[in-house]
Amino acid sequence: MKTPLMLDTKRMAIWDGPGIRTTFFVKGCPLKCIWCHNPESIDSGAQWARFRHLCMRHERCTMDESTCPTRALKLYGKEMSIDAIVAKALEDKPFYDRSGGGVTLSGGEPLFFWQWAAELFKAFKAAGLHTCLDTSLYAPPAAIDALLPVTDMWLPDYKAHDDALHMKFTGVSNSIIRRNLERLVAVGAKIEVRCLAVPGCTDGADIAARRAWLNSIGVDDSSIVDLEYFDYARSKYLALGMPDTMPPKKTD
Amino acid sequence: MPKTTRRMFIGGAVAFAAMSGRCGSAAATQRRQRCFFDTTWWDPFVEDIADADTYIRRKFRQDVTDGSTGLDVPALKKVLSGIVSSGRAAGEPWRVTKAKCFAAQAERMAIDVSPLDWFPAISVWNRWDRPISGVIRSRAGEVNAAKIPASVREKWRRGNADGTWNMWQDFDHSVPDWRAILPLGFPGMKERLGQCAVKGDSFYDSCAIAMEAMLAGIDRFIAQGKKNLASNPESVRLAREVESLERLRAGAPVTAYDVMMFVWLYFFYSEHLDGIQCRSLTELDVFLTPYYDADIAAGRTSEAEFREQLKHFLWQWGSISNYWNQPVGFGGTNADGTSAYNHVSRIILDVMDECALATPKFLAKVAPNTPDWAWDKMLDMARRHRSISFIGEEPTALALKKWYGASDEDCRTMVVKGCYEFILRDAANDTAVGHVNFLKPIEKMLDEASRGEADWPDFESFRSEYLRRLADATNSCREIAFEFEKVLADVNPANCMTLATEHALRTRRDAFANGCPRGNGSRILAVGLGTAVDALLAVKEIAYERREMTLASLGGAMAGNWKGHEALRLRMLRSPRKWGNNDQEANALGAAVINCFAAQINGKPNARGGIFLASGHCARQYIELGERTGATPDGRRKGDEISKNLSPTMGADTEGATALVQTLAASSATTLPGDYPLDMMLHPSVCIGDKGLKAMRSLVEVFHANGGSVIQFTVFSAEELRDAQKHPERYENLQVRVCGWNVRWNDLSRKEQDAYIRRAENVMRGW
Repeated sequence: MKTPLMLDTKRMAIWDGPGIRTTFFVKGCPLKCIWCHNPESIDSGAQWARFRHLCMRHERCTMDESTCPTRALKLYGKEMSIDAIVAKALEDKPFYDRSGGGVTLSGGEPLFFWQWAAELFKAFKAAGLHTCLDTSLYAPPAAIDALLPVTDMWLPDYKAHDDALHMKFTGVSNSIIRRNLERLVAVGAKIEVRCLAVPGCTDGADIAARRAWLNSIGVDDSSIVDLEYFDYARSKYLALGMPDTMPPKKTD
Repeated sequence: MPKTTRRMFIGGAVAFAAMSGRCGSAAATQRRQRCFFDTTWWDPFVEDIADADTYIRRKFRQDVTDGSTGLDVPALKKVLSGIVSSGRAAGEPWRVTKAKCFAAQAERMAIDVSPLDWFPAISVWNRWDRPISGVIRSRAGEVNAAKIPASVREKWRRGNADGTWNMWQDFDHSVPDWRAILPLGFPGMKERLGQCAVKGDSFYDSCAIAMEAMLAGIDRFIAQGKKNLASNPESVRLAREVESLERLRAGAPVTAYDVMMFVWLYFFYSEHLDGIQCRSLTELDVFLTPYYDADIAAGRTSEAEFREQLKHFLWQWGSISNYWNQPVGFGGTNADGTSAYNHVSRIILDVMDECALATPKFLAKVAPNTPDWAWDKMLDMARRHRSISFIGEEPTALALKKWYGASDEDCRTMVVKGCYEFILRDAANDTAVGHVNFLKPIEKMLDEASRGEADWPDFESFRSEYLRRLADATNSCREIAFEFEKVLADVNPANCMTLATEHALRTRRDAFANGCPRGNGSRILAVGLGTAVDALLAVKEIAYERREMTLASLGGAMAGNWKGHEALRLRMLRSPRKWGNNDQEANALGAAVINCFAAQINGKPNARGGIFLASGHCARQYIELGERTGATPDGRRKGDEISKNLSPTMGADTEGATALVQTLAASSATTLPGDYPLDMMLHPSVCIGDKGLKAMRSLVEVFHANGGSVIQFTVFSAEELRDAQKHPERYENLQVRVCGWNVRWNDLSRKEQDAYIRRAENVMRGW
């Protein structure tokens, strides 16, 4: 079973499923979306980032995240056991109970580690937590089989309907994704499909094509969410030493 | 309605030009300008006010009275000075002299009853320049020097000067028992006085002087109203106003409008003329409902007229420059256990929403029975910057039961007032006597270590010594307050308040000093809890865990304001181990600090027949005591502000809103029965739409379920605030929460604006 390193934990997340939620981010993704706003989540290994604009170039720099005075150094990817994740999630249980919230697993791509994700979700369910999965659905059928019984809501992305565009901008075909989406709809899974219109990439005719196809397989408009694109992650590309591939956000 | 005072802008500064003898002096103007919370000084004077909206906006920003009816403030000051001198020469009891001062103002101040407004106007409009304030200040100097032991005064002064605490004699947190006096009205209060008074007793004589003056004041308003009605016979507003005043002259309020008029009259009599604050305007919807329903049933008013009267009622305080805001209680629970939120609550919320005022601020009592529509409406208003806070009925009841032995009914009718406070209606003339600086013991201990005078071998002994010193400072604060509160009635006898308090009349006690049935409470407030916890954890890390510096060198670094230690300072500033992140060690330390503070205060007898209460809010002292506090090991520089209320140090809460709520669950309103507030700044993105409302409600409910008493939200993005700083003209109505109250953004100093923007940036970090 592949176990991911964890990137981050976001509490009081209200846009990652119903109610107040805690979202856990895994590190590692099979897609290479050029607009990715979490470039630190692509590689599954641990990565150091150095935010130069924060760095005070201290003469006795120890390259230690915990002692960096300005938080210019950041280590992306830390081990975290399933028990620790569940314990962290339970800290906010009173808020989930009041608001109808729960936990969301995001990334990276959680289904890149689907066996581990299924184990984690089983533990979440055993703890009485509502579960959401934020995923590209780029995963084998076995992953869907494993997660279906323990996932209360799916939050799949549908990045491009035109497969050539999908290949060009994410590095993979969308055929697997479409099959998985059809499957989720067919079995009556609760879903909310997120569609991002990236300027110059997926903001043309593909928007309507995506919606039309989703409607055709039985996803009604109330289950489709159009997300606004932001290009706020450039400093992370720089800090990680990665080429910045983010298209610029169009301004009026 | 002649205007006799004019302000002019000269080279960007404001100057007063005397157009007649009724204008404020240049010296008085200068005094006002130096007063940071007086926001009237830059207001442009409006020469000819012809419409109602301008009138109510300007009413307590300039003199709008008819000069022919009486005296302006400078002239009244001279009259009061004469009364004090002749009273002293005649050996008159002080409370009689003070009653005469009150009467002189009620009977001789300039007034008006304008067709543009639903309420009268008075020349004593400026709360920062009231004639009675100077009289009280002067009397305080004499009484304190004569009756408070010199050693106590010296200890009090030294602590204020070095920032160990900030203490003063407080006359600003009292509330009359509205539930008792509304059914009486002014004539009923007079009758009750007659039943209690002993002839020839100066205590009752002074009450009688004040009572007659209140009634004479109403007579004057009636006469002026009739005079103006003669020249404006078509004015329905004026006709109704005169009718209401006549009803109040004859008996108790009959209509909802009478109730508002009664509250207006009592407020200005007590606060502006008698110098005793009236720190709540009733539980407004609860008080108005039966009257409004009867009015509608009898065809005495329409909803439209009621809405207009409400608008004008709220604007009376919207116009007053009260930095601290005027509180209004709201909602709660009926005697039968159902929610008090009703059709009148809806109307009031609508009107408040439309007025978009920074003050009055609404302190809304909420409970599990609070209906969804009320939650949604109030939270929606809160996220749009309306001045509204949420007080939990359940956690406050636990505190009141523990410290006052209160019954369920006592708790149901509790008064909400001040910044965030709650108190029983028969103990509501309480005070905020002192603010204890939680940082000062750390500063002094490190200073001693740096000079080689003290050392502590391990963190446990450092922590124990800190708690011992905090307890000492708190005890000293309480003992000083005990002494200076013995003389409150000598300094400022509260004749109006005494007339409103049956127990005081029957027992011949000054209502403000010690005349409430359960005695009057005295609150001591906590300042800097969050920063103190952070600083203690920083000492532990630097000197005892990592051993990067000895305690002596750390003390030296603090004395040098971190000079030469910038890398360490930044690291400590950004350490995640801080109050506000639901860190178990920080929570435990915070609980120990709170318990230590509270144990010196709660339930201890005060000099006013009541008890001391520990309180979790600190008003503006997080800035003022911060300025008197040296650098601290958490990375804070000398003079910077310290944490506000029970909130984290600015920027320290990196785990988000839920962790912050859980941090405060480390203690509860039972431990800090004065109040247990949480100021929460949220990014707009978590407050959008129905999801946002649900999330906000969950935060309130979990906070209350964990023992917190009151929560208020500030919802801003840093971009919005930066834009407001750059373009103030576009944000005339933008309000931000300061500390239990709202202030217009444009009224904040640049330094305070910058601090707000930094807070908003911190909230942004997680998004």
